[in-house]
Amino acid sequence: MTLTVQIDDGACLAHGDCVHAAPGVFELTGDVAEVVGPGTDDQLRAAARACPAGAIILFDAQTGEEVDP
Amino acid sequence: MRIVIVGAGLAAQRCAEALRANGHDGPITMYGAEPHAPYDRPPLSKAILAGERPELSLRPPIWHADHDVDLRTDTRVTSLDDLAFDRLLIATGANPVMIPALAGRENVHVLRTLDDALRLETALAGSGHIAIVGAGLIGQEVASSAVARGVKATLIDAVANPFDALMGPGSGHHLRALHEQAGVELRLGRRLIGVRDDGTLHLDDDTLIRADHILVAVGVRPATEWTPWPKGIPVDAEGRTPIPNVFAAGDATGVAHWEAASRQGTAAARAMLGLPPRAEQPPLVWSDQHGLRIQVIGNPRGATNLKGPGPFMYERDGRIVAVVLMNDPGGLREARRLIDTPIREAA
Repeated sequence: MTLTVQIDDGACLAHGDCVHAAPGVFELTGDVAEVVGPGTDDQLRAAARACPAGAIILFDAQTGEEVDP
Repeated sequence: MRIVIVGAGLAAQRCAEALRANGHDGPITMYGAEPHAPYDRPPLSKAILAGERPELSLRPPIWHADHDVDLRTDTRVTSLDDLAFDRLLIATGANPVMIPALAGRENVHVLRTLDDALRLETALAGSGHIAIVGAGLIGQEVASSAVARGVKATLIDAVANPFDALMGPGSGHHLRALHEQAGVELRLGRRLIGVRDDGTLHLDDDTLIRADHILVAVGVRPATEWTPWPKGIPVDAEGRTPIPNVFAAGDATGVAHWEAASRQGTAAARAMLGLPPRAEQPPLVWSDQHGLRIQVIGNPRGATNLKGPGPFMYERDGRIVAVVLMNDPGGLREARRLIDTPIREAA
């Protein structure tokens, strides 16, 4: 499966766990995290699981449906 | 506009970040009583006590210089009158409560600061037994960290089921079972009635507990004795205090959780700049114990248990008010959606 990713700005607490889990994919630029580069499915899943705020949303790139990390 | 932030913890740091992210380009001064730049406290009761030395800085060391924030560590502000500002944030956090009979003893600890944690870690390294007075989040996590490294832990609390506070009414025994399986010795529903000269703890059922070290974890008091509100600062949803242009956030307002401090710091920054508040989110608390992550969305206090485990759900007046997840980080988004929905839809 190929995944795409989105950050829920309202949920993001800028904890930075996603940056550690997937450096180069996520970055803390403003007061929330941002997606700054492409990541493998494994990286995206790891980041979504690490996020204490549940702010990383994963979608199936084909169907557009939200998937569990 | 000159902005002063007193305190250099999470709420203070988030406020500074949100100010810069939202376009404030005037001066920001941040005063911290500790010698450290803003750092993350949750690992103090976990990774640090496991003997690890993770990077705790909330932002890279260069952040404050890069964003033109004048960070003055080792500087304790003692009066509002000493400060010149257009907007002020008070985010001085809280101090652990000490039990008078245990104060001043060399083997008695509290856990709030990095220095406290390093001292406690050294104690655990050379210790066979720690007694923990108070079974709140800190007490529970320290007990978990202690037994994980082979140190006997005795967890004492006057409340018979202190685990209900985190897990929700009637569900505390699930967490209690984890502590028992891990070998934590529980002395619950027992009050400390005396301390002998050699540090032996005397409980109200005449149990005597002689540990190498003692952690006092019976809660915190807002560190606001230097303000007009020594018992904690009253604020509205955007952090405004009763004094114009003075804001407060974090534990200084009496709300002692990571997520709340983070949100309050950001909210105060937005209010200082005249920006509308971000959408409200149900509160979130999490704790790592015995290798499990527990996440609490909403507030289960006083609510009725509907179901659980997997996940635990609580209702009040026919609506879901809290969901508790055990090792299910993927369930967090769904849990958040369930909050405030009628029971029938959730079931």
